[in-house]
Amino acid sequence: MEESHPTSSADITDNHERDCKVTWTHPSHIFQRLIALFLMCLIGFGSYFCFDNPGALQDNFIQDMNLTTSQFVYLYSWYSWPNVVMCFIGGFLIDSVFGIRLGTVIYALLVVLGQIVFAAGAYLNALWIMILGRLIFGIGGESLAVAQNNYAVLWFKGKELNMVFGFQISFARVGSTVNFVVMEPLYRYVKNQINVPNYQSLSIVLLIASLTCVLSLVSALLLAWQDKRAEKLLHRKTLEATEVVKMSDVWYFPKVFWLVTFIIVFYYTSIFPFVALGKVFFEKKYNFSPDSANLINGIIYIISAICAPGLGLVIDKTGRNLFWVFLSILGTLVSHMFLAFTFVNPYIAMFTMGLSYSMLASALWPLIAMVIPEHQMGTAYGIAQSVENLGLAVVALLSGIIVDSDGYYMVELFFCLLLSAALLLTAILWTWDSLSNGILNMSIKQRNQLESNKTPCAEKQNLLQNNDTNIED
Amino acid sequence: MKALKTIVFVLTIFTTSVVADRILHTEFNPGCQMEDYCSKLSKLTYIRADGDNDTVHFVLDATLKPSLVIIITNKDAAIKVNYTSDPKNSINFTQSPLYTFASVFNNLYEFNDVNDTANMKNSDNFLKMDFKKFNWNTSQSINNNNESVEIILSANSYRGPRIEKSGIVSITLKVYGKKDTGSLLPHLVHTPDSGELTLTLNNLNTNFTKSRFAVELLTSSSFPFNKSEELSSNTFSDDKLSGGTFLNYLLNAKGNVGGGGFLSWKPVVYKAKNTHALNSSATTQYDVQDHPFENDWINTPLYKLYGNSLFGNNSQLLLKSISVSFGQPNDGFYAKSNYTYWTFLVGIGTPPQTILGFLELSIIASLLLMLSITMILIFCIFMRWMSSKRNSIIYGQ
Repeated sequence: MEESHPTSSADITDNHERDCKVTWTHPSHIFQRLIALFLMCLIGFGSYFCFDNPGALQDNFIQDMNLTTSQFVYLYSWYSWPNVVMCFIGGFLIDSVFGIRLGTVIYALLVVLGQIVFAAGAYLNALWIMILGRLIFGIGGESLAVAQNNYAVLWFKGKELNMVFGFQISFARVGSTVNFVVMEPLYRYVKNQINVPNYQSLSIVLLIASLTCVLSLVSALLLAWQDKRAEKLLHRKTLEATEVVKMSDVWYFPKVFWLVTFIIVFYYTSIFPFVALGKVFFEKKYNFSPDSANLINGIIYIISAICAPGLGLVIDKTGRNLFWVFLSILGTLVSHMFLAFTFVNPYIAMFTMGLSYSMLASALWPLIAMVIPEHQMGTAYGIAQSVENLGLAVVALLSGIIVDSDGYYMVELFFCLLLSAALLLTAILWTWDSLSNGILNMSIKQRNQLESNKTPCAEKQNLLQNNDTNIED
Repeated sequence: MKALKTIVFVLTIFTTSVVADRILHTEFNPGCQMEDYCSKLSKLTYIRADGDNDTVHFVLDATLKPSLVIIITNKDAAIKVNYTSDPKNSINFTQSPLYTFASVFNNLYEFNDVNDTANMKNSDNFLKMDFKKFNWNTSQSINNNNESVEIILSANSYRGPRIEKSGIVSITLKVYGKKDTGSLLPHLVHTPDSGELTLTLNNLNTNFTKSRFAVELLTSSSFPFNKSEELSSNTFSDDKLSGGTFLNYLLNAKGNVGGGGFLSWKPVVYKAKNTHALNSSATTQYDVQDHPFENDWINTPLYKLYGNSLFGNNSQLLLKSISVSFGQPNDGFYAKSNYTYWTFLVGIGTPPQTILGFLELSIIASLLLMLSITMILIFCIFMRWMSSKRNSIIYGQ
């Protein structure tokens, strides 16, 4: 689980003296790390808040700007498309050109810029400007996530890293959830207060939403300052990237890695595009008001925000990742089937889906770390994320077209099909695993036994961890 | 005799619902020798749908209140229309009809939806327009190789006192020789025993600031399904045809042995000529009520069929009315689009069921296939795990 960070581009060496007294102002004090954690979470907040702005105002976008559902879905697909490659490049630029601090600030700036262009597109009622805005926003947003992970590794590797990732996921989901709860009432308020054409009130709302991105930018600046200070005081030196993301590495990855990647793609493509289209689906099929449709649509994220760290802990304690992955995908499939074929209270289906989604994130992503050697981890996670983005872009586009031409039943069937493919791949992976060494589905006890047979790696210990030990002492 | 008639009818309905295809013949003012003379007295379109065992007659009359009467008879029965100034009993059949079901456009209402609830009962003011006072013209008749017939009644003025209406009100009847789905949303499934009626309100001037429209329909059902008439709704999951609508309403005339004639619709109206899911709004349905009022029925072709036996205590017909209003809260009222398009089905026999498409079937099949393989694999893993457990117990490994 230790290795579950998506990027490990920097190794840290530190010349700090062990015996100095650590006060709360010192970068290695827990208080400073908590502040850093808070700032890291805030960095992602803006981009996650604004990412689902179109989802929260779907029918308003469609009505105010006279869009078809497939045109509306462009707003999501043009976020995903550039990230098919930007996941490589963003991380690479941080390692080799900008450095973590400048990189984060630049990407946060891109997010703000993208959102403002997006709002300007709404003001001018021009779809292409809005798409351009989403494109810039996407380039910034996804690279910002990479940068955020790098910061987490830099500050927490060897200590609370898993929990930090859990918190970041939670906070990102809080961003999405707040968006789903706030945007509709905010839109109505603006519409009542300011007498302008509907698409211009939409633009005002989007501009207000961009304030969250500004908040993220400020956090990026503060964290940059804090990190600079930490680097100086701890005499920390980041080694130049020795693990440059190389395309050629891809060919040497084991088949298992590709299985995991395709499970990721098939799974996430049945979640995010569904959430993007979900609001109107709940309004039409279950007669929900726009507000309650948004609430139920966002319930996946609410549950994930609450449960992700806890469920991560469950997996930390039990192991058996493949079992949990299988269970999560099965849970999601059953939820989608309920939504497709029945009129049973959709809260039950969405609650199950939310739990499954949170569980899957903790169980599935670490699998990559188990099958890929550490020095290729960055490439591996980059590839997985890129392929996921490719899948998301294609499926978002497809699902919009399907809804327009064949309705919601067909699109739900389509999601069920994707999930059963994911389930089948998981079963194949599990079969492969049980025929070989079974490392992917080990209990923690078995895994510890395996680990204890290996010689401990000295590089895994770092100074922050040592300092903590000192404090506790 | 009545019992025998019932059995014959039920059998007929059953066989027609299985063997679906019919051959269509259309005639305007059937049997008329002098067209100029007849057309002054009558605006009657007649569609004859011949099946293997029986014939379904569609009579669309726009002389007074636009009405569609569907009559089922034995195969050889023919219609005879007497073009005189006295409409009473002027339509006859050479063999007595087995069953008759009719749907009449009685009144068009315009109401002021002050609180935007889209419910006619909450309006503070309304206008009532009698459908017979529109100047109906039978403007078009399209016949595609006897497979489908389309007749359009349209009116561009209203003759009522103190009501000025500009714009076009039109009623379209489509009858098909085969079971299929309508070409436009909501793609209602039709059979040769049913007609698809569409009411279009195009560019009507409105009298209120928050105007919505509603229509009052009358239905009549003859023996043997004249016991009761009920409105029911059912939900369905497959919105492939209905584009985001998951509900269906059915107004069914019932006898002792089930349903006879029916009206069926999806609670959706379209607010543009392009009947796209995004241009949709909803309908509101109101209670079914008794409607014994002679003043209304006398203006329908049923009076031409039944004469005075239509009314009174001895009437063999079940006379009911139902209202449907168009629009939903926050859709900007009628004035936002100045266009409303509502389609419903009038028919006899079993209401048509949606056909499961090939695409859905193949998706569900591949889904099941993948799940089966998954289950087999999981079973194998489980067996392997069990045997390794057993081994570790036996050999202490």
